[in-house]
Amino acid sequence: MSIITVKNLSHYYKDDDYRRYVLKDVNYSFEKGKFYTILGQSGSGKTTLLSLLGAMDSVQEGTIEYEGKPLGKYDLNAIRRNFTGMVFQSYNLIPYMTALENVLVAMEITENKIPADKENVAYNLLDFLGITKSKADRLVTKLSGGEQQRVAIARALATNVEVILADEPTGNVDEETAGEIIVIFKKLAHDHNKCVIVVTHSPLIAAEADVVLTLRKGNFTIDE
Amino acid sequence: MSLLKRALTSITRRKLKSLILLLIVLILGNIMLSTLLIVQSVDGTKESILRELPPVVSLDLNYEKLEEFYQNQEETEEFEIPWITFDDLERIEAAGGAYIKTFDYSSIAGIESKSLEPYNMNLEGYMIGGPGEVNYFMLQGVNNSNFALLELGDAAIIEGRTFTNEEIKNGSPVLLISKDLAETNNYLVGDTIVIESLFTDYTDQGEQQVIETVELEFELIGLLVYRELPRADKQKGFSEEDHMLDQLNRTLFTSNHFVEDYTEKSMAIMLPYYEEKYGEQMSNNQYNPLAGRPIVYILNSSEEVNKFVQRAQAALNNEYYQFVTQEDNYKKVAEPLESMKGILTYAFYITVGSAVFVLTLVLFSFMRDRQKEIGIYLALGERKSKITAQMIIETVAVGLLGATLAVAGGMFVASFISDMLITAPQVDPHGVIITSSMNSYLSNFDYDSILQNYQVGLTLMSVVSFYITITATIIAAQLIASIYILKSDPKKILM
Repeated sequence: MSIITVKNLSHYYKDDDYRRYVLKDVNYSFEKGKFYTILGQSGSGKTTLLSLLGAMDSVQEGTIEYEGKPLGKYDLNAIRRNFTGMVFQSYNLIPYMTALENVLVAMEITENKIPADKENVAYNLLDFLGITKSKADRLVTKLSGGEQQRVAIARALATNVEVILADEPTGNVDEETAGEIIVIFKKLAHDHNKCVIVVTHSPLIAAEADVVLTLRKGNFTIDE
Repeated sequence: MSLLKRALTSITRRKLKSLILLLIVLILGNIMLSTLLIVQSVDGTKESILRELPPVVSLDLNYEKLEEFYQNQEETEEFEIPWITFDDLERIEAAGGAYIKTFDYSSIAGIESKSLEPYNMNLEGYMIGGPGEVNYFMLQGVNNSNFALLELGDAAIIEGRTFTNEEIKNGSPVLLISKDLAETNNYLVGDTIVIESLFTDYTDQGEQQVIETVELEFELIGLLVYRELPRADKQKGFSEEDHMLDQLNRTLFTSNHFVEDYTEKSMAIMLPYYEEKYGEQMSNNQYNPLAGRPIVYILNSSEEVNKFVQRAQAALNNEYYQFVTQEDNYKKVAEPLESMKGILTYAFYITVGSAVFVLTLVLFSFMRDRQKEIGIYLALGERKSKITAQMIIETVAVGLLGATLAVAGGMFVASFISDMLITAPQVDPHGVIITSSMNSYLSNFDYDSILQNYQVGLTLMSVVSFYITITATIIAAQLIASIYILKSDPKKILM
C-alpha cells in the first residue's frame, strides 16, 4: 500500500537567475513494509529528496502525497510531527538530555496516539534497539556513536510514525554497528510494517534493501 | 516530557549558562530595584506627609510672574499690581464654595511701642530690644472666630475665649495674645490694656523721633499657646523656628476690621507728614486691606484640593495671583529629594532599556549555542511558538531567581545610593521660604522632617512592581532574541 506518492517532483537551486535542477520530474510511490535505499553520487539530489519527503523543505514543483493527501494540505511541521521520523548521520540528539529524555521529547511533540505510560514505552523501545535501562538513563554524550544512532532511531520510532527516513545513518559508525543498524531497519520494515527510506553511499546497505533507487541526472533508476 | 520539564532540564543541566544569566539578572535587577525603591520611597514620603497635612490652599501673589514682569518692564512704565478685592473672594466662594470649610485672611499693621514689653526668649543670639527703646509688634486681624491658626491646631486658647462673630464684624477692640507675652507684661484675661502706638521717623542724623502717639485700648479676651515647631537644626541658639515663635509672641490678634481702621488712621497721620517732609503729593490710591495679604482656604478634604484650585483659579482670573497647595509647598521644601527622584526615574528607564539590550544580546548568543537543539525540535515537528515558550520559561525562571536575590541586595544598594545622593543636595532646602504660609499658619514640615519620613524600604508595591518590570524585561529580551527561532531552518541546521 502506497504511503508516500511523489508526482512530477522537481527541485532546483537558484544561481542568480539560473535554476539548477537537482530533481526533475520524479515520480514514485513508496509503500509500507518495504526497506528502500536511495543511492547516488554526491550532489545527485539524494539529501534534497529526503528533505522533501521528510517535510524539511517546501515542494517547488510537483506534489508529494501522504496517504493520498497532497503535502500542501498539511503544514510541514505537522508532517514532521505525525508522519515521518528522521534519522541523521550525526545523530542530532539533545546533548544535555539522557537517551530516555530524548525519546520522551519526541513522544511529547507528536499528536499521534501514544500509550499513557510513555516512560515504559520509551524504555522498551530503547531496549528493543539494544539500549539497556542503565544506558537509557545516561546523558547521550556518554554513549558510543552506535548507541547514539540507536537512540536516534528509537526517537524516530517513538512517535508511532509510518515512515522512517534516514540520511547516511551508518556514516559515523563502525562496520559492525552499521550492520546491526541495517538489521534494525530491515526489521522495522518487515516485522513492523514501516516504510523505511535510507539515503546512503554504501552498496552494502543497498544490497540489504528491498528496493534500490539510484538518482541520476535528477531522476530514478529502479532496482527491485 | 512536557515543555516545563524540558525547560527545567535545560536550566539544571546547562549550569554555566544558567549561572551567567542569573548573575546578569542579579546585577541589572539590583540597579533596577534600587532606583525603583528610591523613587517609590520618595513618593511614599510625599504621600505620607501630605496625608498628615490639613487640606489648606493659600491664595497668594505669583512671585515668579511678578519677577518676570519686573525684569521685562521699561523703566518709565508704571505698574500697579491688580490686588485681589473682596469681589474676587466672593467669586471664588461662589465657584468653589462646596469645597471650602472655612477661609481666613489677615490684615496686618505694624505697631511700635514702648509700653509693651516683648517676651524674652532667653536664647543666645536673640535680640529683644532693651527697656526704654521702641519695641516692634504686629497687629494681625482675623476673619472668623475659629481663625486659621486655631482651626489648623497651630495655636490653642489656654485661657479665656476667642472672638465672637459680632466682635469680628464690628471690629471691636478685643485682643488675643500669647500667654508668654501676657505674663511678661503682667496682663490677665479680662484686663483692659492700653498700648501706646508710636508713629516714628528718623532724623537726618539717624535718630528716631516720635511724630505722634496713639493710645489703643483693648480688652484682653484670651491667651494663646503655640504648637511646638519641628526644629530644622538641632543646634542650640536662636533658630529659624525661634524666630517664627518670636514673631508669634509679638503678634496681637484682633479682628480684621479693627486692623483696617487702625491702618486708615495711620495713613491719615503719616501721609500728610511725608507730604510735608518731601513736598510732594503721596499716592492717594484707596487702601485695600487685601493688598499683599495671602488668603487661606481650609477645605473639607484633601481629595478636593485640585478641583477647588481649578475652579477657584478660573473664577479669579488674575495671573498675578496663584493658589498654592500643600503639595506645592512640599515640592519646594523637598526639592533635593524630588530632583533625586527625577534623576533616578530616568536612571530606571535607562536601566530597563539597557537591561533589554544586554539580555537580548546574551540570550541571542545563547540561542546561537543552541542552534542544533532548535533544529532538532523543529525536525521533530515542534511548533516555533512552543520552542519560544520553552525559552521564555527558562529565562523567566532563572531571571526570577536572580531577581529574588536582587531583592535582598537591592535594599542595601538603594540605601547606599540614596545616602550618597541625599548628602549632596543641589539646593539648600532650609533656604526655601514658604511665603504664603508665614503669617497664616505654621509650616508643618521642613526638610528634616521630610528626611525623617523618608525611608528606603521594601513595600509590597515596590516588590510587585519590580517583579513585573524584570519579568517584562526578560520576556521582551527573550522575544527579540527568539527572532532567531523564527529564522531557523531545520534542513540547513541538521542536513
